[in-house]
Amino acid sequence: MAVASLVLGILSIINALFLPAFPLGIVLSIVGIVLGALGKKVPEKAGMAKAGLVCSIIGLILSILFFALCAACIGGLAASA
Amino acid sequence: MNAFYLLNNITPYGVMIVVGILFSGAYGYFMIRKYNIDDTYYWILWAYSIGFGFLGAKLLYLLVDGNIDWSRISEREYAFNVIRGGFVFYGGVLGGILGFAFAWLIHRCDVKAYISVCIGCLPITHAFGRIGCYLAGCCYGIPYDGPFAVVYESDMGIGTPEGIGLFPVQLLEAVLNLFIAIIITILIFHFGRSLVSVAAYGLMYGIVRFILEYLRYDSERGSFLFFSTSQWISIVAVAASAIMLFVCLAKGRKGIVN
Repeated sequence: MAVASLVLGILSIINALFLPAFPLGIVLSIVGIVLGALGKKVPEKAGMAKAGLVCSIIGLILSILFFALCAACIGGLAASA
Repeated sequence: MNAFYLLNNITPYGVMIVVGILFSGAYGYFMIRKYNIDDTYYWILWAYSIGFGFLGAKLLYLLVDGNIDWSRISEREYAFNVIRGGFVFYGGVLGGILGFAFAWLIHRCDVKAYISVCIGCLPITHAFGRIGCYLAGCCYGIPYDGPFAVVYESDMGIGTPEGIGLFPVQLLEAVLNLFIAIIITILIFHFGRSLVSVAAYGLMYGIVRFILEYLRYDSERGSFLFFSTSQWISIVAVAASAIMLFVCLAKGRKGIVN
């Protein structure tokens, strides 16, 4: 769970940075947060799970921020067209 | 279009949403630590409430917005623009409730304990969202020329009336939401882990929203008979909250922990 959380967290950050128009990063980061939070319960993997949790939270915040910016940006482009 | 392009074209709307989510997340974390509640499920509920909340807000927008041309929904560009369009707050609340139900079904966690001490997150996020609306020019108020009237110089890309004074209903709602958050926090400190705070929120926001709907001027919302969709939901929310408050206080009088 901890490894999966970390992978999903990193993927959600990459998605937010390079493909902000697609809300896939929001789904990936939510799954990452769930796995990271549950993974913290296993003492041997707690560190990696916390890293996955933090990456997923950052991924979720960035996904929402850039998705909202993207929406506003496209609205602006449409208006100026 | 990537994030670096977007950062050069940054708009205050997305920033305010993120600031609201961060503030409310910090507030919720402070509250669960104060009441010694395990943070494991806090993060899960936080994530579910955001995901389901966005989904619910979008679905209700699609249901009540009469301007969507459903015959064009199969066109890729039009469908993307619809997906990126507006949100309806009450849809977000209903989505969040579904998210909590989903979390309870999957994880069997004590959802009630988290909601009872973290309900203040909702008006805090909403207040920042409304400031974002004010800055973006959406959800605007009726024409008005008194103190604090706002005049938008352009249509902001979303059809906002240009060059006329409008009532700053978004800012009023933001202030009232922060006021509600303060009252709820005081109630939580007084009643502890009780659903009184949840009922009080439903009651207060339902009344505030019902009245503020008369000050709204944007027409992109559905209506039925005498009231708008949000006013009907407000009536249901106030009735349900009043019953919940009565039950909670009755249990409290009998010495039963809610």
